[in-house]
Amino acid sequence: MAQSTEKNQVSIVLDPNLALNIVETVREPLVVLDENLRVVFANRSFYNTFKVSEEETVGRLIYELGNRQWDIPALKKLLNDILPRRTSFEGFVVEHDFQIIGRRIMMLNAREVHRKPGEQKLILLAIEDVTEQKQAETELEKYRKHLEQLVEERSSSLEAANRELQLEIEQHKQAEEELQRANERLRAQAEELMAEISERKRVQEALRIAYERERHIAKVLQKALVPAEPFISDNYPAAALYCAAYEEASVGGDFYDVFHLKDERMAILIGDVSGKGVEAASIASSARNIVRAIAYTAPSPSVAFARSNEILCTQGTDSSFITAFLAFLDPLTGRVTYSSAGHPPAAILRADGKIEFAAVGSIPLCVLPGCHFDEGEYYLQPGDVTILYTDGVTESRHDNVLFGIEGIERVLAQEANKEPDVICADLLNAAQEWSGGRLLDDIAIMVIKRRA
Amino acid sequence: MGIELVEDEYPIVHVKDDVDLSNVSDFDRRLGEAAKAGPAGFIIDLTEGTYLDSAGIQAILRIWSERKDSGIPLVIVVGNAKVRTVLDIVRLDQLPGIRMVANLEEAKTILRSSAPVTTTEQ
Repeated sequence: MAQSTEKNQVSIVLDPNLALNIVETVREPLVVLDENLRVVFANRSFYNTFKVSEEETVGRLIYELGNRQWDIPALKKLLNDILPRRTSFEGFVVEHDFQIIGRRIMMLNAREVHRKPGEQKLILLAIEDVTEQKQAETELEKYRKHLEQLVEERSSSLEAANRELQLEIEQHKQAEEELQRANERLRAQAEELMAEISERKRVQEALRIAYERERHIAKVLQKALVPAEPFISDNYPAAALYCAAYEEASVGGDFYDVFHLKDERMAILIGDVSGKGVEAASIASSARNIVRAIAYTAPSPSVAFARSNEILCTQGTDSSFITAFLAFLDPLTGRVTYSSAGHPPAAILRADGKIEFAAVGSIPLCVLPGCHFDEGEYYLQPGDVTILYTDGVTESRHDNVLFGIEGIERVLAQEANKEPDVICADLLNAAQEWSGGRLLDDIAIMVIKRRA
Repeated sequence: MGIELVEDEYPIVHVKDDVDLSNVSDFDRRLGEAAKAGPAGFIIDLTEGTYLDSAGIQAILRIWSERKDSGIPLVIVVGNAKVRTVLDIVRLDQLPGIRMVANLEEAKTILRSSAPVTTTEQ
C-alpha cells in the first residue's frame, strides 16, 4: 500500500499535462504567477469570469490585468508580505469593484508551488466568487437577526403579558382576600344586627306588655270615672256613654257624673283631662271627686269650680288642664245654672226642635289659681233635652274637616222628641262615621230630658 | 308644612300644620326655643295652622305658665276659624298675659309697646 501511494504521487509530479488538464477543468478561476507576480498561466474559467483574453493576461503583472482591476491593496499586501512568510493562505476574502463584472466578493486561496531546485518559484492563486454566498450569508444573518429580534420582541411581549398576568393574579388574589374580609365583616354585622333585632324584639315585647298593663289600668280607672247608669228621676231620664278612641290610642281622661246636691237640686258634671293614659285617668278621677265633694255644698256651679280649682291647682298636674261643664238642675222648675271651664258648650234641644248652646265659658281648671268662673243659666221645659259631651265629638275629623258644633246641630236636628239613650247613640254613631271609625280622642256623652 | 321658628323682629313660631299628639313635641320644642331666643317676647303664629287639639293647648299653657310673671305678653296670631273656635272654647284670652290678635303686625305692635323702657341720664 505504501509503495503504491508513493508511486501515484510521483506520477502526478511527473506529468505536467495531467496537472494542466486538471487546472483547465476546474470551474473556479485559477492563475499561476511567477515570483515577480507576473501571470504565467490562467485557466479558462479565469478568462470567462473576468472577461479577459490570454494575450491580455499572460506575462503581465497581476495588478495590471484588465485595466488594473486587480490593483487591490489587500491583495498586494497578501502576495508581497504574507505569502513569502507562510507559503500559503486560504479563505482570504476580497470585496472589490471590478471594472467589467462589477462589485464582487472573492475568496482567494494561494499556494507556493514546489519545484525542483534551481527552477523559478511559482504561485498558484485560486479565486472563488463568493458574492452570492456572502450575500446569502448576509441575508441569512439579517434574517437571523430579524428572527432574533422577533423572538426578542415576542419574548418581551410574553414577559410583559406574563407580568400583567402575574399582576392580575395578584390583584385577583387581593380582591378575593378583600372580598373574604368584606364577607367576614358583613357576617359580623349581620350577627350584630340579628342580636340587635332580637334585643329590640325583646324590648318591644316588654313595651307591649307594659303598654297593655297601663292600658288595662287606665281602662279600670276609666270605668271608675263614670257611673254605671246616671239617674236623676223618672221625670228626668238620663243616658250616658263613654267610647274610647280607636284601639291603638291610649285611654283618655274623660269623665262624667250625676249626683244629688245638699238641697233638692241635682248636679250634672262632664269633663276631660288633657293628655292620655293612666296619668290623665288618675287626674280625672281626682278632679271628679273633688268637684263632686265641693259642689255638694256649693251655692252655684261657678263657686264649685272656683273652689275646686284652688285645690286642683295645688295638686301639681304637670301642666295638664281640665275642661269641665258643671250644671245644677232644679227638677221642680227645670232651671239649669251652669259653669263651663274651657269645655265645649252644652247643647239644648227644645221640644219644638230648636237647638241652643250654653255659651258662657271660662278658662279650664287647673290652669290659674284664684281665677273667676262665669255662670250662665237656661231652663229645661217639658220635652226639652240637654246634651253634654266632650271634645272627642266635635274634634272627630273627616279629611281634615272637624265634626264641630255644626255636626252636633246636624244630628240634633233629627232627634226632637227622641229618648236620651237614642240621642246618645245617634250622636256617637254620627261622630264615629264622620271619622271613618278612627276616633282620635275618647268620647263621653250625657243626655238628660225633661218629660213633664 | 310643619312647625318652624322664624327669626324676625321677634321670634315667630310659625305653625303651618295641625298640632296634635303626633307633633306636639315639635311644637313644644319650638316654643321653648322661641322663648329662649326672644327675651323681649315672641309670637305664636297660627294663621296657617289647620287644627290645634288639647295637646297643643297644653303646650301653649305650659309656656304661658313659665313666662306669666315676666310682664311680657304671649301673643298669638289666629287667622283660622277652626283654630279660633278651639281657643275660644278654652277662653285662652281670659288668661292674664295672653293676647290673641288677627295679624303679625298687630302682634309686633303689642310686643313693642310692652318692651321695658330704659332711660339714660344726661
